[in-house]
Formats: sequence, C-alpha cells, structure tokens
Amino acid sequence: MATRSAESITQLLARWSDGDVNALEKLTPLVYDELHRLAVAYLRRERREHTLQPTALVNELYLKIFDQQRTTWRNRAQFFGVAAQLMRRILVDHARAHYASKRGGDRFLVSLRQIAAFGAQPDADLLALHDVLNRLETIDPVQARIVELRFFGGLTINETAEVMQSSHATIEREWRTAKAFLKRELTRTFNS
Amino acid sequence: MITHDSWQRIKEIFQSAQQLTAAERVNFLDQACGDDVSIREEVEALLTADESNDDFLTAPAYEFAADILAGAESEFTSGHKIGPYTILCPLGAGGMGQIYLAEDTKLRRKVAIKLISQQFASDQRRVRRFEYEALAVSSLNHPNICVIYEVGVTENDRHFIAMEYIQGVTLREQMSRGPLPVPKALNIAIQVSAALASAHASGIVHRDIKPENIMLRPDGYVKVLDFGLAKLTEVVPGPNELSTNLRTEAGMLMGTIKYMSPEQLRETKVDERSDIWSLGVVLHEMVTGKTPFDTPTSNDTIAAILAAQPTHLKLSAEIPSQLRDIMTKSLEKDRDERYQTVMKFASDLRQVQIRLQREADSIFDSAMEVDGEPAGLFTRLKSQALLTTEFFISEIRSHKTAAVFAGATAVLAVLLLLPAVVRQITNVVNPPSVFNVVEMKPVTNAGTSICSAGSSDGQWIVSAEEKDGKQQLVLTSTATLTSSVILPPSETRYLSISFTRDNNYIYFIRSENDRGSLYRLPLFGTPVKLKDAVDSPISWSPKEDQFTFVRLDSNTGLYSLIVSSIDDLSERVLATRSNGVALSVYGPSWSPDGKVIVCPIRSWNGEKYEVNLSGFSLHDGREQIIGSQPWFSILQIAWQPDMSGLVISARDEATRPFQLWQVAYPSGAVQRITNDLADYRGVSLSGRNIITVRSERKWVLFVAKSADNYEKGRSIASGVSLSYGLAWAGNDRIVFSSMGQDKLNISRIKPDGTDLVQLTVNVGDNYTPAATADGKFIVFSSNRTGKFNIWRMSTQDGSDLKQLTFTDGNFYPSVSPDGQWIVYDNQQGPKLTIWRVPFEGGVPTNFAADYRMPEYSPDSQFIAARYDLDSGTKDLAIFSAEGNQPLRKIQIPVIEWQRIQWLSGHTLAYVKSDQGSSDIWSYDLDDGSSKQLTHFKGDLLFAYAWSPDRQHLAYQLGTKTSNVVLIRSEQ
Repeated sequence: MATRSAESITQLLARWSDGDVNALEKLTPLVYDELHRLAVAYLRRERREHTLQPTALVNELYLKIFDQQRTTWRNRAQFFGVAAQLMRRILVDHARAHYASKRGGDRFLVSLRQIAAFGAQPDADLLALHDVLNRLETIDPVQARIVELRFFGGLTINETAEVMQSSHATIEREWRTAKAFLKRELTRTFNS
Repeated sequence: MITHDSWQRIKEIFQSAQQLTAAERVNFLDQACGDDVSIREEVEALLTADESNDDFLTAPAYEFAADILAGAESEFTSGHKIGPYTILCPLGAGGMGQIYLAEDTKLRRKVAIKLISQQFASDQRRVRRFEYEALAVSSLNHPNICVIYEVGVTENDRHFIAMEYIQGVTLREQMSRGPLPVPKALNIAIQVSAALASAHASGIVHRDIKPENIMLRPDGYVKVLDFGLAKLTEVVPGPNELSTNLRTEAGMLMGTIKYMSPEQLRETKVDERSDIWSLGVVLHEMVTGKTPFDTPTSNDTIAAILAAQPTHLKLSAEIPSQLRDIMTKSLEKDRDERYQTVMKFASDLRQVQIRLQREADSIFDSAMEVDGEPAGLFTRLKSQALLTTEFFISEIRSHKTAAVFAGATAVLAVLLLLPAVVRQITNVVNPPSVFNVVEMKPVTNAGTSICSAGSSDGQWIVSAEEKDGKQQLVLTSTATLTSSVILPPSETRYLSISFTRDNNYIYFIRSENDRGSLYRLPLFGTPVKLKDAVDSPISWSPKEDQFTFVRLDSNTGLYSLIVSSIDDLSERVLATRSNGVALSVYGPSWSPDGKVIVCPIRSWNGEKYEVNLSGFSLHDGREQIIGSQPWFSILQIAWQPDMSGLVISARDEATRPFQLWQVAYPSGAVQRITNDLADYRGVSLSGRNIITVRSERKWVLFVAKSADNYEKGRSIASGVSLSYGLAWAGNDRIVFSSMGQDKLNISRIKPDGTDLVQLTVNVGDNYTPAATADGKFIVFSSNRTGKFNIWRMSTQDGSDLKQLTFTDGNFYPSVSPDGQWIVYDNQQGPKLTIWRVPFEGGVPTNFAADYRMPEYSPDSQFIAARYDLDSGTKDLAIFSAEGNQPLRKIQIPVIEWQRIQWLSGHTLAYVKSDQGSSDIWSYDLDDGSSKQLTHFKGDLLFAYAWSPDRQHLAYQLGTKTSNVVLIRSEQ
C-alpha cells in the first residue's frame, strides 16, 4: 500500500542509502511510530493466538508500508536494518520509561525477572543488554549489527545473512560469538 | 578492557576452540594464547558463557519485552518530534488519548499535545466533524477557554491537538480533598459559565463539562478544556430511546455519564442547556462532595438522571437556600424548565456571590467604623469591584493596550485584598453602572438586518431590513417578538433610525444622492422629509427640542458638528474639522444633562491613524478628549441615562471585529461588554437593554479543478469571523489567513485538505499572504512589532522569518515571479501609496501614489493595482514594473476589498458583486471584454486564488448574517 508515509519512507531510505545522513533522522520517527503500533498490536495478537513467528513483526511492517511491486531487494534489506535499529530504540526507550517510573530512574540494577528471562541467567536486563551491545559495537560493529537484526529485528539467520550480504555459516558463527560475548559481559556487569 | 585488535584475536581463538572437544581445547589454547594470560582468560570466559547459552536470546526482543510494550504508558518519548513540537514528557492519559508536555521549538513555549487514539480516529466522518469543530473552537477567544493552537496530523496520520499548557490542578484533583467552600465553588462556576457563554454565542456546545475538564490555575484562573472534543467520543443514540451502545459501553463512559443531561442520554441533539445541566452537576459536586445522581452502577445513574430528584442538597446547612434554588433550576429534567442561557445562570450565581460578600463586608465595615475609617466609599467601590472584576480580568488578559483601565483594575483588585489602602484611593470616583449581560436575544432572524433602534420604554424595536434587494422598515415588540412592516420595501438605503422619547415618532435617515436626508415617520403613518444634508445619525437634546448630527461636505472635505432646532430647523455649527481630521459620520450623542455632545474624531496625528472620543461643550464649544484609549474605528455611540458612561460600538484594532464597550465618563476607563468574534454595529439604549445589529461571518475554503465547474469545489477547511487573504504557495499548497483566538494567523493546507499547519502562532496579526513562484516562501503583513510591516517566512514551517519593511501601515505584498521584488501598498498616510522592496531586503522605494493592492503579472513585467478607494471609483490600473504613472486605466466594477489576479499575461480576474452574490469575472486586456467565470448563487465570495499552473481554483465562500439583538443587562 502506497500511503503518504510509505512513499516518504521509501524516498528517505533511498536518500539514506545514497549517503544522506539526515535522511535517517527523518526516517526514524516515521518507522518508529509504525513499528511501535505494530509491535503492540502484534503482541496482543500473539498472546491471544499463542503462535510464534519470530520474523512476523518486521515482515508485517515491511508488507504494510511497502508496495511490493515497486521495491527492490535492496530496499527490503535496508529496511530490515533500519527496522531492527528502531525496534531496539523503541524497546530501550520503553524500558527506560518503564523503569524510570517504577524505580526512580535506577536502570542498571533492575532485573527483568518479573517479565521474562533472557535465558538461563535471568539477571540480564534489556537495558544492560543495550549497554553491553554498545560495548560490542566499539570492538566489533559487524557482530553488533547481527545482534540488532537477530534479537531486536527478530530476523532468522538466513534473513540476517541476506541483509548483511554474507553466508549462513558466517552469520551463525558470528552470532554465537556475539552471544557469548554479551552473556559474559552481562555476567560481569551483574557480578561486579 | 578489550580493544578492537585484541578482540579479533580472542574471537579467532574462540571460534576455533568451539569446533574442538574439551580435551583438544586445552592444548589448542596453550598454543594459541601462549603467555598472554588476559587473552586466555577472555577466551575461556567466552567458552563458559557459550556452554550455557542455548536459551540466551533465542526469541526476539519484543517477545521478552512484551509487558513493557503492552503496558506502555506512553507512545512517544522525550525528544520525539511532532511538527514543530518536541515531546518533553507524558502528562497523563485523557479520555481520548495520551497527553504530553512538549515544547514549541519555534516559539520556545510549552504546549500540551493531545494525541488522539486511533480508536476515535478510525471513523473518517467523525474525524472530519472533529476537525471542523476544532477549527471553530480554535477561534474562540476567551480567557477561561484553553487555547487550541493547532489541530494536526503526525507524519503517520495520527491526529493531535496542540493546546495551551496550563499549570495547575484539575477540579477533580481539587475536589479529591473534599467539598469546596461555597465562595470558591461560586467563583469557579462563574468562570466556567463565562467560558460557556462565549462558546454558546458562537454556537459551540461543550458537551462534556466535568471536573476533569476544568483546570484551576494557581493564580485563580479557571480554564475549561476540550471544547467540542466530545464530538469525537460521543455515542450518538437513536431518537427516543436509550442507546444500547450506551448501555453496553456504559462502563467505559461511566466517568462522563454522571454529568450527562437527560437529553444527552436520550436524544441526538443537544444545545447549550445541556452544558448548563452538566455545570449544575459539577457545582453540586463542588459544594456537597457528591454528584446529585450518585449511584453505584451506571444503569442506576442513567435511571436517576432521567427520573430521580437530586439528593444531598438539603443535607448541608452551609449551602445558601438561594444557591440550592439555582442548582435545582439548573438540574430540571425538562430543559425548557431549566435556565435557558448560561448568562442568566451565571448572573444568579453572581447574586449569591455578592450577597455573601456583602455579609462578609458588613462584619468588616463595622470593624472599620470602630477604627474611625469612612467605610461608605470603600463598600461601594468594593461591590463595584466585585461586579466588574471578571470583566476587568478578561480585559487585562486579552487587551494589552488598555493600560488605563488595567491600572484601575489593579486598584480595585488590591482594594479587594488589602482594605488598608483605601485611604490612598481618592481619585476613583463615580464608577460607571456596570453592564452585567444576562441575555442576548435575537430580535430578527432572517439575517438581513441593517440598522435598528429601541424605544425608550424598552417595548419596541424598529429595524431596517433587506428584502429582495430592497429595504423595508419593521417594528417588533420586544415582549412577543411579533413584527409588522411599517414602511414597505423600496429602493432606498436606510442609514439610521431613532425613536422620540414619547415613542410617537420614528426618525430615520436615508441615502439620497450620496447624502443623508432626515425623515419623520409617525408610527403607522406616512414619512415626511424634514431636512437634507444630514450625513450622520441624529441624537436628541434632553428636551427633544433640538438634535445634533454631522455634516460632510465632500467637495471641501469639511466636517461640521451641527445642532438643529426641530421646530424651525435652524442650525448652528458647534465645531468643524477638515484636512485629514474627520468627525464621525456614524454620529454624535447628546448627554442626558444637555451639556456635552460627544462625537468620535478620526485623525492622522502626523504618523498614526486613530480615532478618539471627544466631548464638545454646548456652552462654549470647547473640546475635551475622553480617555486615553485610541480606537481604530468607532461606529455609533450612546450615553447611559445616568451619565456614568457611554456605550460604543467600536474596534480597537484594524483586524478586530466591532464590539460593544463601555467608556466611563469622565474618566474614560474602558470596559468590554461583548467578547466574541461577531460585529456589533450600532448602539441604542432602550430601557436597560442595548439594541444593536450583530453580524456573524462564517467561511468555507473550497478547491475546484479549473476543468470542472468551479461551483463544484471540495470544501477543505472552514472557520468563523474574518479571513484576510488566500494564496497558493506552489501548486500543492494553499496559504490563508484566518481568525484563531483573537489573532489572525496564516496557515497552510494541501489542496486535498490534509496537512493543515498553522505557520504563525498568535504573534500579532498576520495576513494578506502571497508566495514566491516556487512556493518556498510566504510574504505577508504582520503587526507583531506593533506596526504593520511586510515579512517573509518559509512555507514549510514558518521559519526563516525576516522583516522586510520597517515603517507602518504596509499591506498586500506581491512577489515578482522572478523572485526579485516585493511590491506592497502603504495605507498609513492620508493617501494610499505603492512601494517596492528587494526580496532579500533593502531600502523600499515609492512606486506609485493613489493605488493599492498591487499584483505582479506572470512575466514580472507589469503590475496591476486598485485605485484609491476614497475617490469612490472602482478603477484599476496597469503599471510597468518600474512604476510611476499607470500605462493604462481600466474601469471595471471590482468590489473594493477584493484583489485582482492575473490569469495570464493578457487576462485579469476580478470579483464583481451583483444581487447579493459575488462572482469571479475575467477581463481580457486585449479586447476589453469581460466574462463571468463562476456562478456562486447567493454566497459571498471572501477570497479566491488560482494555483500557479492555473489548474485549480481555491476560494472562500462565506455567509454574513446580521440580526438585531437585544442585550439585556442587570445593573
């Protein structure tokens, strides 16, 4: 569907890929709002239907705002990239607001235990993860990007490989390493 | 700390080690890490983490964060941008969606942003209705109404409302601490009434008065929120039945139901009396702590509202019985039994307030007397202050120029709070009888009234009415509102009417050969002409043996104030004016004691145009200016019988409507009587009533394809009151100036009706917009500095603001299509002139004299302009782009306030009025032929503009309805 906002999202994406850094600034609120709305609706529906389709969210967003006939693979990959980045921003923003309101701004030591466990170590925290992901970004931007796509964007290994223009094996290897790094860093954070 | 380089090594070793068994790993690590202990530690830590990592980050983040998202209290976070607004923090949730505190980055002020839930915005018709309503509400101008700055759509189609950010608490929060003291409750209810009265006068019903919508500011101000927004949420029940929707959604609407009127629950259509009911409920809750129909379930509440008598009222002895009666009357089930106007409701509340205050005073006064202080003056001033404080406050806020009057208010306000200063106030004497308006009753309803007068006993009103292009005189009884025609329709123009005190005769002035002629008409008799050259309404001496009027000799420009005997019609001249100073042709008023004739005088005092009220002594003709307030225009004036002041129909600025004011005599202190966006033309005092003609304007903006019938345009915006200018900025944006609050603002909108953005935000008046050929800039006139100058700004967001002229009285800019120049007219001096200034700014040069409203031709080579209005002709002229003398003069009957537009290099468009409707015509410069382009039957064309590619025509059609109204006051 070619809505007004969809058209401008496409244009902005094109400008962004042409190196216009301002385009991302303008793109952000458009995708942000759309994604947020979709995320909330998605979660409501998910809970009702008890189905799990990890990539449904960004895919749905993609289908919603792009005219399939007129967009290229390149658009799609770019879009997933942006969407994942924005999803991260949305969740972090919300986590901040959520905990700031409950805990008076004490964000690092808040556990996600009452919400859901990240994994075996429930001491992880979305915000803490965001911080250690920032750390990963400084030493290995590629891995950080993979985490963003996989975890925040909800892409599969294959989709991530597509977006990153890389192989399945490489993405899988880098993903596993990144996870280990994040886990280790999180453990370090909460043990220190 | 791991660096980028060490990470590459760690990663490599880790990834290799992963492929190995536990046993193989030890050797591998020994070999790979060598002596580097830190690397080895990192790798081992990673391997440990990896072993227990199977269920780490297995599902997307939004799965884990489900609760955060689902329970999200706010959709936008700090820093998010909506148009010019940057979100600062959430303020809470309202009935319709989230409310945020935001900053208007352009104006650097805080605003509240209400984001409308999708739930309410999904129905397009509802949204449309809401937008129209919001536009109407945004034009309400009242200190007790929360200002709406903008109704907009975010970039992803969410509707939002940007409004005044009010610091304070809601009445709900205030009441959570228990019932309010009666005086405080009265004060709040009266302020809410004032807001409602103003809205009702503009035909807007609030529909959702409840404590949550009433804000109390720390400075004592009460602000009513969400006018008309109930239209978005209201469930429209079917006729004569309780809506099943209402029942099923009762839980959701519960908060509101308690304040709903019976007719709101029952019927589709509600009027202002429904708001009176709701305010009655709120008042009840304020003084008793409970709503009158307080039941545990919504169904019971509905039943109680429809059938039960209010509870609790009898319980509290602290509630004065008078107040109980008022509440009971406001809560009558049958709205015909209820208060019919909120003004009357407020007036009754004020009576209670005054009585309570007097009781408090009497205690206070005796204390004063003990101290030997003179209490009389104080008490009198104090009760006056009580009566007037409301008007004063409203005036101070809305009217910065009324300094004298603001000073007087400060005095009175201080007096209320600090009685000790009484002795210092010696110069506050003879406060005027206050007009406490309780009712505004339409006397005529055809919308065609021209002028009117009331009889001295208040029984009769005579008015001139337009009928089928002719004019007739009609007499109406104020008691029954029945009318009879006393002079049938004829080809005449009535300029004014008056009664004699005995009510046996009507005197009227009608236009004959562009002069006024005075006639006497016995009630139900035949008129007799008494005198020619009576160029203004007349005013009688106390004995009615003489009358006064203004005569204008247009050959010499001499204005004379004349006193004439009624017996032999002999005259004497009391005063004369000429050379740019004029006596008002809307007429003088003779004082009830017979000693002074007051007449407005219009003057240019060198550089400024203004109008003042002057009193002329009948004894020696000496002139004395009354008050220091300059006016832009004064129509009729009338003395109050007790001589405490004059009621005048006037506007204080060029862009304001004509309103009724009271000017105290002799102090000149000014007080508003009406406070809305209608024009009140003419004043006559009739008993306690003011009789005037109230004119309301409404407009709708249409866009039509040039290929279609122009009449079939699509409406894209609407508003009330005045609109000042319409232009296209490129082919996909229309800019226009319209009245919002009490200021003229420029907005842009797309031709499809979307993307409405107000570009100027109540910074002075902004109007007569024109755009550059590329549409990127708008040039316009603004008085934001106190003087009218030409400015330019970006069409996108009003940024890049630049002032281009620095004199005063500059209007109607037009940009040359080559983008080099701006031409505009100057209306400051006695003569109209056209000037030219470079687009980038610079020194303006005089271009031509005696012309106005210049327009560049498409090739920038020529300028078309209108001829000086004062000449009485309707010519226009074509100039070369260098100006000076016109190349060509053309006589076509253009309406005087309408612009012309170039349709091509050879064709001009202009507006011609005929038989009550106005249409666009084209004029062919080559062969001099005219052609009618539109056929807007019966509607007034306020403004028009073709898109630069001439594919679309935007036009504003409007209606102006003028009715005689009777304004009843309690003094």
